[in-house]
Amino acid sequence: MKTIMFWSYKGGSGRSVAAANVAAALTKLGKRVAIIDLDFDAPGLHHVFGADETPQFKKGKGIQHYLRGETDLDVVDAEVRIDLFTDGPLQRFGPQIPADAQLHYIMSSPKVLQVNPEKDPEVSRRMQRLLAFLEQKYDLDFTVIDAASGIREAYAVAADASTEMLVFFRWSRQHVEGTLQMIRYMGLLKEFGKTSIPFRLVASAAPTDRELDGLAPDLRQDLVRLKEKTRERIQQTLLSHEIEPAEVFHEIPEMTELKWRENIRVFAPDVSPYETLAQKLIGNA
Amino acid sequence: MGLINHHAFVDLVSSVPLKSRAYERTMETLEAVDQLQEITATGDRVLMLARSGRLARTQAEALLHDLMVCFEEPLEQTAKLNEVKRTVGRCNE
Repeated sequence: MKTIMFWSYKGGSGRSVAAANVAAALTKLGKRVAIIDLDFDAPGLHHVFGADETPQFKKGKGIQHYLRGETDLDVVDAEVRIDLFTDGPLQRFGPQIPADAQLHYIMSSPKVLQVNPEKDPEVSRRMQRLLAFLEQKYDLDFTVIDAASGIREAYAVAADASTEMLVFFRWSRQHVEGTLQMIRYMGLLKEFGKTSIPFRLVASAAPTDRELDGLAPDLRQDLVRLKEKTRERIQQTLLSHEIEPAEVFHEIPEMTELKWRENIRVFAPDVSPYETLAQKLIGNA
Repeated sequence: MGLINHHAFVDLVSSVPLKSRAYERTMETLEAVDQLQEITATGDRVLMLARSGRLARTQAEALLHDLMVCFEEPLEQTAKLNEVKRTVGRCNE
């Protein structure tokens, strides 16, 4: 089983919407998938999946209760997990997924519940036990972890449990500089002989040429140059730390409808960039 | 000891060879590599000051020795690193 952590240095990168859609796309492509919301401070996947009205969500239990040692795996399985296509809010798409495919969603509680793996080493071990339990019980191919942005508790829990990481960023200054800082950290880990999780970069809400139409020619030229320069800086930073691939792995263009609705759109007739990302992940599996 | 004969601090630690301790937790590890970068940069500065004669050979050797201790336990030896950095800073004044 591949456990892929979706992470971003800054918030607002479109990471959670991407995690939900990529998980759904993997299922559409016939995979057995689990998605875990590890955005403890600001969970939101329940809105993307439309799970906020389900009886399970309304109970208020989340993965935090388990990671804090307050409940066991059976409770997670019975009260915190939703089989989204079988008896959950994505049932209407059920006929569009292969018979064997499944998507299990492990919720995060919207309550304020601190989870601190630095203070309690059992947290990471519990997370690993949960992954092993899900893999064994549901014969999973992939687990997608939506980890909160920033280098905080959720990063540590997810990084300890994942086999690879997708780092999401927007083409904005704060996002790009933060992402470059993270690449430097990964380079330092390598340089000083520490183990680091392999990662790839995903540019979210990437500016498109169409977006530049209508701008004054000088401004348009400036922005095109800025995007190219940023891309070169990212490549140079990756190269200088000998990190492969030394390029942005995938680009998800800005999608107006998704920006407003933040929902699952991989069942629309067109092939979405989330589905192409899922195909790449299967290709790399 | 000949510590100052190395071109860079990283050459010195690999010639000994010296290994920084492993930390079990992710956040500790990230904090440690930040410190290791700081230690390495300070070591390079000491070597440069020794080569230019702005730092006495014996003092440079002692500082490099302290930095090697810091390198082995980067999170436990932050006070020692700060002390070395203060000494190096005084050489720059």
